[in-house]
Amino acid sequence: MSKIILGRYIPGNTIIYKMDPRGKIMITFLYIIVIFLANNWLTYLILTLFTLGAVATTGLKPKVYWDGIKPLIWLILFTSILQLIFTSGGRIYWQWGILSITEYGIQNSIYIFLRFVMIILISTVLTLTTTSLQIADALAWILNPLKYINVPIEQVSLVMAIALRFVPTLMDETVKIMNAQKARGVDFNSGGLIRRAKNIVPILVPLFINSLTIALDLSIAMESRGYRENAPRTHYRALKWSKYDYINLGYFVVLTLVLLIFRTK
Amino acid sequence: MSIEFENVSYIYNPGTPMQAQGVKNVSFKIKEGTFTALVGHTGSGKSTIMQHLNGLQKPSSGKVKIAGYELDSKTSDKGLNQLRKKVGLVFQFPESQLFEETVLKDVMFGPKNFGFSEKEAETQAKKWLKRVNIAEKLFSKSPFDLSGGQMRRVAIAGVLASEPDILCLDEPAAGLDPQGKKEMFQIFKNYQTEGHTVILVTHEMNDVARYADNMLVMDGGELAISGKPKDIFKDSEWLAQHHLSAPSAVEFGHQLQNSNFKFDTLPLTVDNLADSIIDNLKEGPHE
Amino acid sequence: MSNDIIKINNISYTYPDTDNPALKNISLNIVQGSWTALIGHNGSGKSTLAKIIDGLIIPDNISNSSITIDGTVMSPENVWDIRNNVGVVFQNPDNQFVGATVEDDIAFGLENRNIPRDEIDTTIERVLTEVKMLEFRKKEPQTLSGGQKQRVALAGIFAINPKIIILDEATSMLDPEGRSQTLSIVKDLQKTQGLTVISITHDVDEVMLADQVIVLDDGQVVEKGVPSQIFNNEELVRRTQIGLPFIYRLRNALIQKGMQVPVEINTKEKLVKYLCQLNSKM
Repeated sequence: MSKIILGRYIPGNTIIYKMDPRGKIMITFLYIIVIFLANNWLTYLILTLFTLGAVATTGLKPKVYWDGIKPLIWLILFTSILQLIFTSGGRIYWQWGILSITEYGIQNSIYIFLRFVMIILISTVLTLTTTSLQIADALAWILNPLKYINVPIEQVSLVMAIALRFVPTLMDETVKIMNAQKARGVDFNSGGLIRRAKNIVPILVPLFINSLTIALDLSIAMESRGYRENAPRTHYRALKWSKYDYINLGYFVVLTLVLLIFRTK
Repeated sequence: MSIEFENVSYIYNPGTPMQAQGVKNVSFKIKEGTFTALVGHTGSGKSTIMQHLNGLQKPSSGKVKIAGYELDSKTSDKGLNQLRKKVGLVFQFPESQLFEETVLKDVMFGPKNFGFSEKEAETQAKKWLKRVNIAEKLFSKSPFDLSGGQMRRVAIAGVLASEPDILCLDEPAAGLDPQGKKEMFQIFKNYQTEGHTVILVTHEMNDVARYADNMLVMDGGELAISGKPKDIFKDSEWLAQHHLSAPSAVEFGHQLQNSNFKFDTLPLTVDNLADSIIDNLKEGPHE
Repeated sequence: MSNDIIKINNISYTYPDTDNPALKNISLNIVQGSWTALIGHNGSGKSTLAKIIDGLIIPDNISNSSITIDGTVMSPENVWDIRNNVGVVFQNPDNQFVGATVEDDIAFGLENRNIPRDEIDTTIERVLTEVKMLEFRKKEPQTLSGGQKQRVALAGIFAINPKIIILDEATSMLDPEGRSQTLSIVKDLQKTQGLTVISITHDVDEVMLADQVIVLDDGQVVEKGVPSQIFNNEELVRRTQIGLPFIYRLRNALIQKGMQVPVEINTKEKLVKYLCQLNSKM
């Protein structure tokens, strides 16, 4: 559960960790679009090399990437196989009714497979090396223009940061409550669906009440520490564009140019 | 109903980057009907030991023998329900586990899960609510309308209502005012004298001196020592090495001993100390 | 008196949806640079009074009451300036930790006051050194102990340079080590920088640190005085259930067992000396 809420950030110290999350998010987004520029063996090879290059800079074990791909592997294989047997054109190797394995079919299914894997890899690079808080800060910056149409971006980003801060606290709280109720004889592992659903109540009610307590305490503490809703505030946690971000940008621009040159027109 | 830990080790999140040793090679025995204090500073492994008592955690290696059960790494969660009936756990700030619509229903929750009939559960709940000093007019109120101290007592009644043979409490008096604290400890001491085993997890050495027959000291996940409080509190140097303080009476007694007082046995409580001081003064000058 | 930094005059407060006032016509003064312990059993109104002093709640009877902090009479217009002079450490270490990391949390109060980033940076370093937490600067709250979180809370308050600090049962959820570390930091600052401290507490040993003790019962001030005056008042101690520090319990036990102990023997050192002299004379 913690993985879903907290993202999969793994602490590290390579240059990719030092890059500005704003750059990382935007370039990851563009990278996914650029993946679709590849349309022949050479461009797919180049794309694969660049993607693996990005993966390598994280300095993380291949297993963590495999963990990212694993849940989607059946979907990827299924789509690739559909491509394989429904695409026609080129030399025919095997045929049965409308199903056939053709030269283009093989080619397309491999392209689709690579495309999927690379989208997952490149977004995994982002989530593994960027904390949720950095992502929230970067999104707040990217969405900043919305304040001109009266969206309270300031408050929203503070709320997001505080919410992320309290995720581990609430998880701890949940474990504590579950243990306390187990000690009072609740058996979370057996019983039918209805019984199991009923067993959630002794967890949810205390969790809800405790969250309210936290919220009340927190609001008093914030006010006591001088927080005013609409007053101007400085920002200590600042995002800084550095030389590493030019490397990031350069890497992406080179990839795009190379793909544009070598793709089949 | 004695308790025995045999070489118990517990590892958190084994095989992940978050792997951490909870406790290491812990062995001890607790006799039936005793009042045992489990002490050690934050992160020493006390709460890991506590959660091994009713199978919330199972040893990564080693064995726990408790209330006729034997728990090891292979023990399954099935059938632990009856163990949990016999071993009641009161966690820190137990008021945060209340959830029912009424005080009475909340206290009945545990007994009902452990197989008491509706009627038995109600009788037990009423009995224990009275013993923790909750007035009858509060039984039908929402537990969330009570004061903090009352909520604490309701939560503790919720564990006591199943009358576990072994009762383990983690800092049950934290945050209570002095009077509330005194009443609370009297309830636990009475529970012990009625023939139950009580284990108190605490930082407060004055409470240990006052109530415990035995103590277990945890440090860095290992059992540093076990024995009688009067023997363990004797060695102030050893205590300091393990980040523990001595009870106030012991500290004061040491100061007197450094001068011209002589104590045959170490006074642990204010009462002991006062008696020993008066005995010393009666015996006449020592210089 | 001119050196009273807090003057509370005739304050009452009733919580919404309740009938019984939590505070009833409270008046009291607190001297600049002093340490005041506010005691009384749960529900006696201690924490409510703290919230009044910080302007977090508004008294019932504004027209015939007043709160004066450092010479300024509190009003809705200047409550934010008053808060620059008052810092509160609350009971639960987790629920007042706003930032994602230690440095972030300390920055929070400074950000609220629109302080430039560079200045925040140097302030963080200064206050973290004061509370001996500098090496934890980048740490997240879930990796800290309760005592460490309370020290961060203190640092966050020192960053604003308030004249008054209120400890609202700030040590009640800590282990003895965390408790004594937190208190010794505050005691140091009270001595060296003339900070005024109000500690709301059940811990009688914490009360012994005070210059002045104020006992609340049922929303009213029932007694004021130095710790020994309060703890020697048997009737008061019994009625308000405040408990006794070790030294008074020992003295009472000795007296009960037939010994004579003079009233002025009210510290550990004095009692040790007194007893040892007695032991060599007899």
